[in-house]
This record gives sequence, C-alpha cells and structure tokens, in this order.
Amino acid sequence: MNCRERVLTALNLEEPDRVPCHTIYIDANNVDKILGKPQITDFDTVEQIKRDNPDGWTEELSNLIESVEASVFSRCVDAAVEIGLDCMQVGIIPLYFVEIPGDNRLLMKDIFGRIWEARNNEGNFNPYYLYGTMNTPEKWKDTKEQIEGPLTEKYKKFVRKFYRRASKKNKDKIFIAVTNDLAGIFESASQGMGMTYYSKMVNKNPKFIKEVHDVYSQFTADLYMSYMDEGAEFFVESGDLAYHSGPMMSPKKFEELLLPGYKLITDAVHERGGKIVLHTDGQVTPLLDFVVNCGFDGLQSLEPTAGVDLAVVKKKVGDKLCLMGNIDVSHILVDATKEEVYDAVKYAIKTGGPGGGYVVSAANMHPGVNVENLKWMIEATKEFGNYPINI
Amino acid sequence: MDFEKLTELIIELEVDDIADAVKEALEADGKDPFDVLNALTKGMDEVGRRYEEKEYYLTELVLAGETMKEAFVILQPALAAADRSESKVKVIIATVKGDNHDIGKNILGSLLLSSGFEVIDLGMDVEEQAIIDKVKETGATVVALSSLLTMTVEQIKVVHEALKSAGLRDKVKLIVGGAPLNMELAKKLGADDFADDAVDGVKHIKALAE
Repeated sequence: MNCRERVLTALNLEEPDRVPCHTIYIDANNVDKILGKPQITDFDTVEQIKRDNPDGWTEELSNLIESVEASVFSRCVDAAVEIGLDCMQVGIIPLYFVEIPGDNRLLMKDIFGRIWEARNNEGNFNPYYLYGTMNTPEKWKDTKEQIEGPLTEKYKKFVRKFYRRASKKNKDKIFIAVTNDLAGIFESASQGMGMTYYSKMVNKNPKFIKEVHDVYSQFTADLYMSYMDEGAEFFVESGDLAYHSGPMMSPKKFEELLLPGYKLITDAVHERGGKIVLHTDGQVTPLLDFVVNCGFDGLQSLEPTAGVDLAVVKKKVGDKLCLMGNIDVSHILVDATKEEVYDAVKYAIKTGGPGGGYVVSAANMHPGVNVENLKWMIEATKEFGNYPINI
Repeated sequence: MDFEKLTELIIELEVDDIADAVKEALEADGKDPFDVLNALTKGMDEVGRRYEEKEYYLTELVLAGETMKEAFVILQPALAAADRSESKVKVIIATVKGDNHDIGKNILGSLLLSSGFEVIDLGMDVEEQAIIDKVKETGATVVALSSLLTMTVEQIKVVHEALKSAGLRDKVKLIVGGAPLNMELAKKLGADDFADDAVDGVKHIKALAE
C-alpha cells in the first residue's frame, strides 16, 4: 500500500498493510533540524522589511503571509517525507500583522479577532495566542459581514494557491491532509471573544454563540470545498474542546451549540467522498458520543497525560471512529529514551491497532518535541505496526 | 436584599446583577460585609460542588469567577473598612514566564477570595524575580503557579530555585497546576503540591495553609 491507501484504509476502520504514522505538524525549528536551516529566517525578513519600510511594514509583511505560510507548510511536508511519516497536514491561518500602541511585541491579528504574538522559534514565526477582541455585538456584526462577504472569497482563492504550492512536490510521497489548526471553529469563537465573554454568552445568550459557530462553520466548509477542488481528500478539524480535566462545556451544550456547525462541514466533506476527523486534546472521553454524532470519521490526539485511556476509547467508539494519537508530547516525544518511545508506540498499536482504524500519531505538537524521538516513533510503528498485529 | 438572593445570584452566574445586589445589601439594608461575604462564599461552594458533579463545566466556572470578581469590587472596600484584624493567609498566584494562559489562574483567584484567602494576582508571563519580590513584600506563605505549556513547565523549577537562593523556600509552599503537569513532575520540578484544576487547587491550598 502507498501512504494514501494506508491512511484511507485506517480511516475506513479497516486493517491496512501496516498502522499508518502521522503528526499534526512539525514545528519549524525541528523542520530546520531535519532539512537544514534556510539562509534567511522569518525574523531576518521582518527586520529587513522594518528597516526598508518603517511606516508601512505591517502591511508589507501581511502581503507576504500567503507565501510565508505556503513555504512553511511546504517545508513541513518535506520534513515529514524525510523522516518517513505516512501523513502530514497543511492549512492556512488567516493572520495579518498589526501594531498596537504601547505593545512592542511583533503582533498579528486573525479574522476572528484574536491577537497573536509572532514568537521567535529559532528564527521562525511561532504564533502564540494572547487574547481575544471580538467581545461586543457591534464587533460581531462587522466580523460576520466580513466573513460572510469578502473574506470568504479572498480565502477561497488563497487556499487553492496555498494547497497547490504546499503539496505539489510531495503528493506522491506522502498523504497530505488539510487542517484548520489555529483556526478551528470552536477555538476561533472562544479565543476570538476571549474565554470570559464566550463563557458569558454561552450561559446568557446561547443563540448568539450558535450563530457565531454556524457562520465560522460555513466559512470553514467553503474553504474545505476549495481545498477539495485542488484534490484534498482528508481534513483534520482543529477543535480543542477539552482541557486537562474535561470538556470546556457540557456535552449537552456542545450538542446544542456546535453540533449543527460540525455536521455542516462533515456532510459537505462526505458528499464529495472525503474524510474528516476532529483534533482535540484534553480529556475528551465524555465527548465521544458527540464526536460520533457530528459525523466525524475519526478523533485525533487522545492525550494520555489528560487521562485519555486508549483501551476505553477503542472499546467505546473503535467501531465508529478511526483513532489517531495517544503518543505523549510532554515526556515521550520530548526527553524519553528510545526504549520508552518504543514501549509507548507498542502499547498504542497493541491497544488501538487490532481490527484496523488506528493511526500512530503524536497527541499534539510543539517546538520542544525532539526530532530523534519522532524518528523513533516512526521506526517503532514500521517495526511493530504490520498487520496482523503481533506484539 | 436577603442573603439567599446573593447566594442565588452567584450560583446562577448573574454577572450583570451581582454588583448592584451587593451594593443594595451593604447600603440600603446595612448588612454586615462579612455576612455578605459568607453568602457569596456559600454560592461559590455550590458552584464548586456542581463542577465536581459535572453539572457545571469550565465555562460556568469562568463566569462564576467573573461574578465573584464583580461582587468584590463593591465588597472589598467595605470589608477593609470593617477590618476585624483577622490575619488571612496570603496566596500569590501567577502564570509562569513565557505563558499567557490565565483562565485557570483567574478561576483559582476567585475561588480563593471566596474561601477567605488574601489573593495577590501577579498576572501572566511572570518573571521569577517578581514572585520573589512579592513574597518578601507581602509575607505570602503560598505561591500557586500555573503553566499550560510543556515549554514553560521548567520555569517552575526556576521559581523554586530562586526562592531557595533568596532564603524563602522553607517559608512558602509552592503549588502548581496546568495541562502538562502531574504530581510526579511537579515534585521533580521542586513544587510541594499539584492540583488538577482550580476547584482541586483550593482544597490543596487549604491543606497547605493549615
């Protein structure tokens, strides 16, 4: 089987030749370690542009975002091919640079009202969420008008170009999924408003929250369809619906306020023969039925340090969802020994693999993940993941 | 304004009504501010119970925290004016350097306030030196640190070491919380205790303060 067939077979809840191996991303510092550092870093470019155009640098830099994002993800896919992953994901982040008086950090804003700091990850941009600004009905009116109007058309064009550039070199060497990581429906809504305003609205004006989710879902579906026009077949919706101790809100509220939006995108993807899974870290076990009811084909992350028990999840929804993840990124892929990494992968394959419908995958990703440990994860998958599983 | 009503407003997360209600209780009804505080605390205790029973989730905890904060804007001066010279346990709360997450920290702050602690909130992305300075200035006996990022958990060790170097480590209890942490890692980083979430954190801090 090639990478595409292997991943799609797992997503169909069947046994491929071997358990596939995936990560949601590889941070740019690690991409540099795998491929070698580019001569000019993102921050070199920023400094250059600031020097050349001290008055209009934010606009000039924002104009470069499209090519920077395409280049970042293209290199990420190159790195994924180099270390032997079966699947890597790419996706745009609708950001632009801004200056805020009194704040000297390198700041970006996204179309959902979030303010980000472009942190320096060894010369590379690393967007770090700071706070939300979409916190009045008036601001929502403007945001809605923009998203339902010009921004959808703008970003539909952007994603077509982006996907062509990010995938063209490697589409036969790896299965390239599409993600809206950092721009998922729930996180864009909750972080865009800030958790305080979002929490208030969830409890005092749930109709408003549903409207926000619905508008962002339609935007997402429109963009996903544009990706599909360019050949994308597999999507990873970025959720982050849960945290360490459990879901951000009750499963009932998720069903009422978010399920219709998620159903819109899963139906749209399925109608054109695609597959879509939900990524959410945190303790997601109470939301398993919700994930199934939304029509997702799988669930990614299954974070062991949040107490997600792969055996329990496999038993409960293993016949309905392809399970992806469960390899810890706080110790196992950071500073664990080769033996520990192998043990974690073997446990995950033994628990999630039987019958198919499992993909070895890092539960999340961050710059502190060690390339060597990632390689051990892949090696172990290739050594112990062949069907029939015999561990 | 009866006390049950105040308790109810906290439980029902009435963030827009609580300030007026506290004001009315204090000014029009002449209630003792410490009785008002008790009514609010009763409400927060019920919020905590509902959270543990999975009737309330994070969004409700956040809103309860905001409701309590609104109440305290009005109540705090009245409590200070009616100072009974009770010495409260002082707790410094902060998110460690490099980390800008504050949801859990803010909820913890509100829950601690309602549980009778004096809370000194240093905010997010806090340098170790700021924590040391504040411990010296206030005599706080508990430092509660939040770290949501794997990349920033080492900062707990930095604070622990800085407290040691300043000769303060045996004068304060260090408790930590956040997604990448567990008790084992917390201890490895030099903390005395770990809490799963804000509600759990209050219980642990009460025990540490005894």
